[in-house]
Amino acid sequence: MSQIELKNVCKDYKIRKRDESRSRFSEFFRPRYEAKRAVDDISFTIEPGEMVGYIGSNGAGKSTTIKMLTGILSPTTGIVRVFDRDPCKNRTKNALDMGVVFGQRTQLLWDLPVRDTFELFKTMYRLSDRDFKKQRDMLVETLEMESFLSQAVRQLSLGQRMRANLALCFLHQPKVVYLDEPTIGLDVLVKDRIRAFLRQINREQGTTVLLTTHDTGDIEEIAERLILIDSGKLLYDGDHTGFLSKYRDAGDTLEDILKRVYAE
Amino acid sequence: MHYVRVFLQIVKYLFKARLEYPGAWVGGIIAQWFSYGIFMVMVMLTVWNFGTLAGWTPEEVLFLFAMYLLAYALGASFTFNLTREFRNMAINGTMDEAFCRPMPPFLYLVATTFNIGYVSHITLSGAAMIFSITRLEISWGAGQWLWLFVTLLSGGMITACLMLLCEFPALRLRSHSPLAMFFWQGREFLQYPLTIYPRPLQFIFTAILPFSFVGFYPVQVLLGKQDGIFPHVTMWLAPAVALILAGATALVWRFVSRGYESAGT
Repeated sequence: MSQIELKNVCKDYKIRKRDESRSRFSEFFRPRYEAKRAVDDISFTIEPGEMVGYIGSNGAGKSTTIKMLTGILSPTTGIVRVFDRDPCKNRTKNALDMGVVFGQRTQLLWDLPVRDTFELFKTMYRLSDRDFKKQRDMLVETLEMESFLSQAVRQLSLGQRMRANLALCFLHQPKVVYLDEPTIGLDVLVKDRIRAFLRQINREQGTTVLLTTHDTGDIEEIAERLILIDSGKLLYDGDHTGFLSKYRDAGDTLEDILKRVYAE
Repeated sequence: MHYVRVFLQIVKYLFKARLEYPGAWVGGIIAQWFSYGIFMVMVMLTVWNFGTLAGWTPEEVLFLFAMYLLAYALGASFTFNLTREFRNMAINGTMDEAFCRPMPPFLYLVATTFNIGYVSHITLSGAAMIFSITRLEISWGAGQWLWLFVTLLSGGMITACLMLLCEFPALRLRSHSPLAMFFWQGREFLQYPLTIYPRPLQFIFTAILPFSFVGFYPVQVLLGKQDGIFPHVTMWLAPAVALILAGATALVWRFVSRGYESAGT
């Protein structure tokens, strides 16, 4: 059975329709709204242990999809199943099996050392002392966090914070991890470390990773499978080689391809 | 039980984080003591000059005020910071995190926004309560002490629920809640005995904005009074009102959280 399943999923947002021809009075007392389709009839499945790059231009619907998978948003139409459950109706249960990182949003306790958030997550995710210690030690070593584990989060650099966020996300050994632009704004060394970490944890713990990114390095080094969406519609779903043979012109780099696809 | 443990651990870390800025914390406590303390003295002196206020002695008015402040502090500790955040949550999508945790989102939000600062209100109102009980030379049995405890919990819950119900619209409107003033201005009336106000206002604060169940009605059981609207019945209703409001708050939360649309990341 697939771990993640989306079937004909659409998501509409209600947005204010501004009409210059209408008077301010009418706009104020009778505002009009229209539905903006952020995700448009998307279907795909993801099997356990896959490393999937979910790519598309800004506003393509990537984050909306992830929010539906995590149970933050519910689809307007269609079916979303994660671990064969509706994520919106089983948030608490699903949260035990998933991890999520949203770009530069931190889930760390801002004024306290990183280790305190680790301790809090240990209780929250009901981890045994043994499992907690084993996983924490592995994460601290792999992400080279020992030097700043006792430092207040507010005093960490962006790269250190992102590593700590990633470690937290994997602390309870989730089956699926959603990473929404995890390398945004990071230097090349930190990016390399994070990519190596994701490959390692996928290999060793079989964690499924769904990653949205604009960084071609992430796509080339992490994603074995690519799902490309544009204006909410699914354009491509398959492996790297298939993607290149479908979109590549002679001499194109991956960046050239993405520029062309996004512009079309 | 697991959620209680998580809740307490989050509060422990919030307290620890507060202690990172000890000057601001202690300064805030002293400022609140000063502000409410002056108000209490002013009310006491005013009533003392007139003899009684609608039949309430200065000590009884002080006891009523202490009840009101203690119940407010107990309730607002859980909801004040949270309601301040509603607008930001709706605009910037900061509620996302709560939906990704292995516990009920509302409980997670209440825990992570718990306000340690109300220790100032609690200590001051506690001291005022002890002072007024001593001055009133009250000798209560176990039943009255139990009623005081139940009443404080009910009052805290009524305060928290009314605050939430008046502030929830901010989550839908992505702006300040227009109902908020009913809570923040409404509660000001309840610092004095309800019976000093005209009958229509008494009705409003009994049946529509039931602030009078935070202090006025349940206190009558303790002080042996019978004032207000149907006092022989209403004086016993605080726990029931708290439960009804808690149910209403849970229903409204379900409605407003279902409409949450997050924000672009």
